[in-house]
Amino acid sequence: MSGASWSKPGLYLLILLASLLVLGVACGTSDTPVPEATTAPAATSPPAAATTAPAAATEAPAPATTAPQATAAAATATPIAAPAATRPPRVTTGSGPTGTLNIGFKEIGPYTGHPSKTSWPQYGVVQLAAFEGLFGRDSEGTFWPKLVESWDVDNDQLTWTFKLEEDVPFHYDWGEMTADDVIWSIQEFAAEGSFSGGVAQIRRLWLNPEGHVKALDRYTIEVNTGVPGWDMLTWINSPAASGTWVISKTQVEELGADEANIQAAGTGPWSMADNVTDDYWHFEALEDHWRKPPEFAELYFRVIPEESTRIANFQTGKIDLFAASPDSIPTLADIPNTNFMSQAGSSESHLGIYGMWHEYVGTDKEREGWDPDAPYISPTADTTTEEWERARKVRLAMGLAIDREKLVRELLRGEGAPLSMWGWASFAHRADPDWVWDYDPERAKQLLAEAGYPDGFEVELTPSIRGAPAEVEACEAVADMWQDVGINARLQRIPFNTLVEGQFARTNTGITCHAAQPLVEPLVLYGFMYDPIGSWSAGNDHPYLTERLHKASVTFDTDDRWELQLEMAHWIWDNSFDIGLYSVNNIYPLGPKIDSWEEHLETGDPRRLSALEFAPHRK
Amino acid sequence: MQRFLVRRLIITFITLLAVSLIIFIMARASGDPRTLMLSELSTGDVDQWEELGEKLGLNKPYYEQYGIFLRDMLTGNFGKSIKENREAADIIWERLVATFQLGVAAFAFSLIVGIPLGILSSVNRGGILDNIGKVVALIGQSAPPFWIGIMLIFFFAVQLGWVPPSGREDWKGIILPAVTLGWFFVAANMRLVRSAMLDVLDSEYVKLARAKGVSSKMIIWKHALRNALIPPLTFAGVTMGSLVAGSLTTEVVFAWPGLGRLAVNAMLASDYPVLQGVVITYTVLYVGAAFLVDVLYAYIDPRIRYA
Repeated sequence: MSGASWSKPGLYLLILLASLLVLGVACGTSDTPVPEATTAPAATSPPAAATTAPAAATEAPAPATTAPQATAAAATATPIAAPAATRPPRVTTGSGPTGTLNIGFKEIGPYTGHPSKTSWPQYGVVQLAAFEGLFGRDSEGTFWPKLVESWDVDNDQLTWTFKLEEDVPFHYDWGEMTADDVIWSIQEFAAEGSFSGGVAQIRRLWLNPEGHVKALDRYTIEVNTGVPGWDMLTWINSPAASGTWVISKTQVEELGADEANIQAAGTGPWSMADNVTDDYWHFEALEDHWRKPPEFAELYFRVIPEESTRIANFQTGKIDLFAASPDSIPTLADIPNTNFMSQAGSSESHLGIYGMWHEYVGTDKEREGWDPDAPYISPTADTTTEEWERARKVRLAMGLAIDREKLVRELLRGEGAPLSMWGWASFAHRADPDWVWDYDPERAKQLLAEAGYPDGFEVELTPSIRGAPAEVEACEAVADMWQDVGINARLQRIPFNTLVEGQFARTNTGITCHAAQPLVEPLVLYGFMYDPIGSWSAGNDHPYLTERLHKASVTFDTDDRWELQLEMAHWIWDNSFDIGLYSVNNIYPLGPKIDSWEEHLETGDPRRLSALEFAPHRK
Repeated sequence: MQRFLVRRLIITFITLLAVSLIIFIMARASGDPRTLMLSELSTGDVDQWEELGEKLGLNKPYYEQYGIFLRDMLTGNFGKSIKENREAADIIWERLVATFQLGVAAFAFSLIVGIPLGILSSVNRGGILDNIGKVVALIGQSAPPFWIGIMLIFFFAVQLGWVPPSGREDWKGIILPAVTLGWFFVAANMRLVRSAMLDVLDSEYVKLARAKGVSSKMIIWKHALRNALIPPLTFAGVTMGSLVAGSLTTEVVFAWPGLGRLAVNAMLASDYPVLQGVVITYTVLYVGAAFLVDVLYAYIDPRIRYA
């Protein structure tokens, strides 16, 4: 290199050119647009909206009237079907979809749609725009028909008949949805090696060797579950944590599963246009969607991991809404033209007491994490013993030492409610009004003294870090409150994947702060938290619960099933077997372009937004 | 020289092998990906655990999994991403482009600002410019990047509206993350140049040039700077490696879809193939940059004895 090239202008010119080159390159993105389906079969023209979407009044299937022979069963045995809500009426805006709706997310994962190849977190997100299930659940938790026109369950409590909506087109001209597509899609969720959350349930209900599934005609499906399945609709609604949706079977057959996975043809109000993992998903509205054409023409899910960056994007109008942390609400409230949309009871938090596996005590199946030395765990499952009573008092003391009102007021900014009985926040009308622990540290101290721990004890407390509002802060606050009664909680922060492994393996000990979404009945929550043969565990089980749990899970009769659930809940309460904390509302700040659609929000997976097709322009 | 290169290559290979073993063990210590994929609703069916283990190769003994990883690594393949169901190497390559853009922009920023600031500081020793330079260096080397990033977003995106707060769609989107990432190295370059310039300006040949009546401008830009640039230029190799490998926090704050965020997400999802691939890629970049610097050292300065 010559000396002249090191002169000031030369050096600066070189650096300037390099910088321009970098900035130039930066203009490009590595988008991976969804290719056009080149091998698409002869497309069935999307039917005219007016003919495909009958008025809600005629769509609302009422099993009692559409299937008289099943009246008795439907009225008494399908509590989830009988009070069916009606589908919201199809309303189109005069000018069609316009504008762009930008939603900020912390994480959404890569875009995939194949039923058995879609895992978390995208599993919960893909259902929000491009896909639809057979049912939805309204804001009250009632199932309403989405891709089905009507349904019915026989008196034998085994045979379900689903009449599908006709003329529902798949995206990218992959034809019209038929019974074959539905059966294939739902069964594919339970395929070997599937990532779906509902594999066991779909296999029980849709692939049971003692039952059968068949298409009676192009739009009618008969499912014989082999065993009574009161929870059928729970596993075929969407959006939901365990949701199942319908995609084109033909597309998968022609393109192959891997190719179809990244451009799956669903039936939702939006179709995927292009996406870049960890950057954005871009959807386009279907102007003639068979059920509800969106009001916005384009929809972006933008991945912004940091809350402060999401707020900055909201302030600058780059995103129109996002799920805000309670801490951010005052800041957001100061931004001009900001409205808020609230989703009540989005999750329920409790303290999971680990190491309390009583089911297999003394057998060769005894859990590795069985921890009878812990003050709050009885070494025996016999509830009449002194040891049990002593441990119960300790657990009760732990529950009474928590000021739930303060947690809600200070940490959740009032966006929640105190909760002593986990899993019952949505069922206040059925719950016992006495299931309330008032903050009483003096009584907690007295109980600890009676149990033989006047000076308290040490325990490990671990927040289950999954993105629920204030989940870590609440755990820290509980540790502080316990300190006041002598319980020394050592707070441990570990990634969720490290924690959850011990939950599966039953090796965890100590206490966790854990949030879960409200489910169709407490039984579902109990099923995956207290069932000793379940893959997941909240840390505790007991033969009393197991017996009723297994009985309730095959009890089709609503009243009988709720009676069993109440029995379990009373036992849990009387024995302080679980410690509830609070329920939380999701809060979404809405920018100046958009109005609330709170009345249309669905219950399925309350950690997420839903019913985006109803999101309206601000008037 | 040849012997030196061979020795360096062997050390590089051993480093990669050691890193591969460490990341293999640490990835598995962080948890099993099935626990995250199956959600809490996957209840009552332990077969699903085994089925997925079979599908993802997690049921194999660890030594066999490590063998497969090594074999894949040597063929430039890291296996299939557990989370994305695509080749991990493809995913890493897509992200590497974004990270490289950011790294190069930050590198350019660190040179464009750091070198002139170092020169101005040295020629105005004790003056206002020198003090400003010291403050810049102090902030750059002590303030955490996430704080710098958030402050920059607040002032330049929210208050002034000059640039977007985050993202990669608009070309302006690279400015704030590049400044955030490059600031630390602005400070480093500035200090290196300042120190080297002070040494050079105090040397006998500069004094002679001054005595001969050579203008200050000529002395600074032609004679002193050429010699003072050697330390920052040798430092640049390591800088580039660090910028690419150290972009994690910046990518999270600015929602930049690069390798750093890929690493974080892979770690949180226990996506072993991607996590291992990213760490190996980082190692190759860093070790490669260090190797190049070593070679350059040996080439530029024969006094350095490697034998």
